[in-house]
Amino acid sequence: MSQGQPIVLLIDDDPNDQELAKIALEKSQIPHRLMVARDGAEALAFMRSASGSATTAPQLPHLVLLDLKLPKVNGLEVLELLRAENETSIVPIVVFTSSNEERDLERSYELGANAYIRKPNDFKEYKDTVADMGRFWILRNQSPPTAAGRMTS
Amino acid sequence: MNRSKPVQDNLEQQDFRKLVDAIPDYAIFMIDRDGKIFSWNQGASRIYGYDGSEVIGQNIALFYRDEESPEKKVKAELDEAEAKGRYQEEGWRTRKDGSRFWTNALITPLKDESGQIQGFGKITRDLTERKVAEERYRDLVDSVKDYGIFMLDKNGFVQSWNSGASRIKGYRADEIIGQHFSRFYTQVDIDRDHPSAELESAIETGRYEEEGWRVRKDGTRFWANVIITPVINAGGELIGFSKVTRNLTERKIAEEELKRAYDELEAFSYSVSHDLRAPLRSMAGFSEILEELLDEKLDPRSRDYLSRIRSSARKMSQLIDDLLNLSRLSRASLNVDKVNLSEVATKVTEEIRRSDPERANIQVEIQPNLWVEGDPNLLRIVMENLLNNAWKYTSKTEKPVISFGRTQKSGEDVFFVRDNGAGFDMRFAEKLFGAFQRLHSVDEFPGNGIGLATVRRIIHRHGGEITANGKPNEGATFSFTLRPSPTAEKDRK
Repeated sequence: MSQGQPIVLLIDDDPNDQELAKIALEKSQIPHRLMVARDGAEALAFMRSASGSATTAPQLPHLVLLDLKLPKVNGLEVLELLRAENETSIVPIVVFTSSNEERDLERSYELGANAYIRKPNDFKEYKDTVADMGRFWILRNQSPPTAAGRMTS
Repeated sequence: MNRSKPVQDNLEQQDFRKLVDAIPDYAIFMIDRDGKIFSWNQGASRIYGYDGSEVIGQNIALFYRDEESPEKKVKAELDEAEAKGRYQEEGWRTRKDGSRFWTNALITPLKDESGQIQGFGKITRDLTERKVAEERYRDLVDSVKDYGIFMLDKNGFVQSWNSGASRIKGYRADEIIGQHFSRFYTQVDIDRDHPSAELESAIETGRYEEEGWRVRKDGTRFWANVIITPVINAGGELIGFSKVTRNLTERKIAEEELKRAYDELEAFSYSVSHDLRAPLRSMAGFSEILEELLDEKLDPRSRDYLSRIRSSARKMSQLIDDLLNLSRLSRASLNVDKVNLSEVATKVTEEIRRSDPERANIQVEIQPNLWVEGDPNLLRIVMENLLNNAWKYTSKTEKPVISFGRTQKSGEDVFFVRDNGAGFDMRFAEKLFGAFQRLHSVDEFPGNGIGLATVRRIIHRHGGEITANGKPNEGATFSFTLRPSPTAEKDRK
C-alpha cells in the first residue's frame, strides 16, 4: 500500500462489514489504499485533513463508500456536509448500505450521491459489486479535478 | 248613474259575501266592537266546528276558553287592532269539541264612512299541522345528543341550543343564548378572526365545513367537525346560520395513536431492513471466505456445513426482504391504471416456463383480454404469486392444468386462478392467507408462506376480497374481486 495509490474511504461502523469490504477490494486486484472511518465524525475529520491546507497538498479519496446508519453523524448528514464543502463536493460518493428503503435512495440522490448500492447479502455478488465500483471510480476516473487543480496551482 | 251605483254596490256586496262564505280554508268572520260575532263563513264552521247559528251573537272569548281570562285576552287583541290598525298572532284556540288547534289570526278594524270603528274582521288559518311538524322537528333537534345543533343570528349570536350542544360544549341553553359564538374558539382562532371568516365563507359558498379544536365552557378543548349553513328567508335575505358541531375528539385521539403506532412500525421495519440483514451478510460472507481460505484442507462434511450456513443466511435474507415488501405494501400509494390481467398472466407464465423448463407438460389456459383497473405492479405480484403457487402445487400432478379466467357472482366480476394440484383442506382455507402459515411442509413444497399474505394485502388495498376453495389432491381455486373504483376517484378529483 504505497502512498501514491488511490484512496478508498470506507465509512462504516460495522467491523464485519469493514472486513468484508477489505477482502472484496483486495480480491478485486484494483490498486488502492483503504482508509476506514467508523462514524460520520471520523469521516468528516478525515476528509477535512485530506482536503489539504496551505502547506500540504490535498489527498482526496478516489471513492467514498458511505454507509447510512452511522453513530454520531449519520450517513445522509455526512453526504450533505461533504457536498457543501467546495473541496469535497465532487469526490465520488457511493452510498453503500443495507437499506432498500425508497426514501433513503431518493434522499441520497437528492443530496448528490453518485450512486446508491444496496449491500448484497450474497458474498459473490458483494465481491462483484465492490470490484465494479472500484473499476468504475478508481480505474476509469481520473483524479478528482479540484484536487488536481489544487496540486498544480 | 246615480241609481245604478247602489245597485251595483249591492250586487258586489252580495257576490263578495257569497265568495267569502264559500272559502273553506280560511275562517273569515266579523265581530262587533266588543267581540260579538255577526258573520260566519264556511271556513269558520269547518275550522272552529260551530255552525253560524251556534256562534252568531256569541263573544269570540268562546274560542279562548282554555285561557286564564278569555275576556281580557279578547279586549287586549281588539284594543291593539284598533290602535295599530291590525293585530296578528299565532296561538292555540279551542274548537267546539274542545280540541285545540294552532292558528294564525289577523284582526283588522272595520270603519264606517266617518271613520268610526264599527267592528272587526277576523281571518284565521288552521296551522296545526305546520305547528306540530315544527314542534316535532324542534323536539328532534333538541333530543339529538351526538350533534350540537344550534342557530346563530346573522351576526353570530346564539339563538337556539339543543341538548347535544349542551353536552358537547358544556353550556346550558340559558347561559349561551344571546352570546357570540366566537367563545367556542381558541384564542389563536379568535386572534386570526377565524369565526367571522367561517361565516363569510358559509355565505359565499353556501356551506362551510371544517375540523378543528374548539373550547368548552370549562376551558378544555375538543376536536370538532363543524358545518355552518346560512339561513335565508323567503325574500332571499340572510337571517342567520345553522351550525352543526360534532365532537370527534375520540376519533382524533385514535387517529393520532394510530399514526404513532404506524410511525413506530415504520421505524421498526426500517431498522429491520438495516440491522437484521447485516449479520446475515457476515455469516454468508465469512463462511464463503473461510471456504476459500481452507479450500483443499476442507473435508466434504465441513464444506457441506459451510454451505448450509450460507444457504440459511440466503434464505433468511430473502425472508426479511419478503417481509419488508409485505409491510411496504400497506404504505405505498396505489397507482391505478388500466391493466390487462390476461396479458400479465401470460407474461408471468412465460417467465415461469423459462425458469422451470423441465415442466413443459403443464397446460395453462388464460381467458384473453380481461381488463381491470388497478396498480399494474401490485397486480403483477398477485398474478406471480398465484401462478407460481399453482405451478408449485401441481408438481406432483400427472396432467397439470392451470387456468385463469373471469366469472360473475352477484353481478360482480370474479377472477380466478385454478389448478388441479395438491389442493388443501377447506378447514384451513383462512390459514392460507396468514403470513408464515403453511399447509404443506417445506420438503413437500418449498416456500416461506408470505406469498398469499402478500396477495391478500394487495387485493384488500384494491378494495377487493380473495377466497380459496379446494380439496386435498383435487386442486385449488383462488377467486378475487377488485374494486379500486379508480374512475370514481378520478371523477371526484
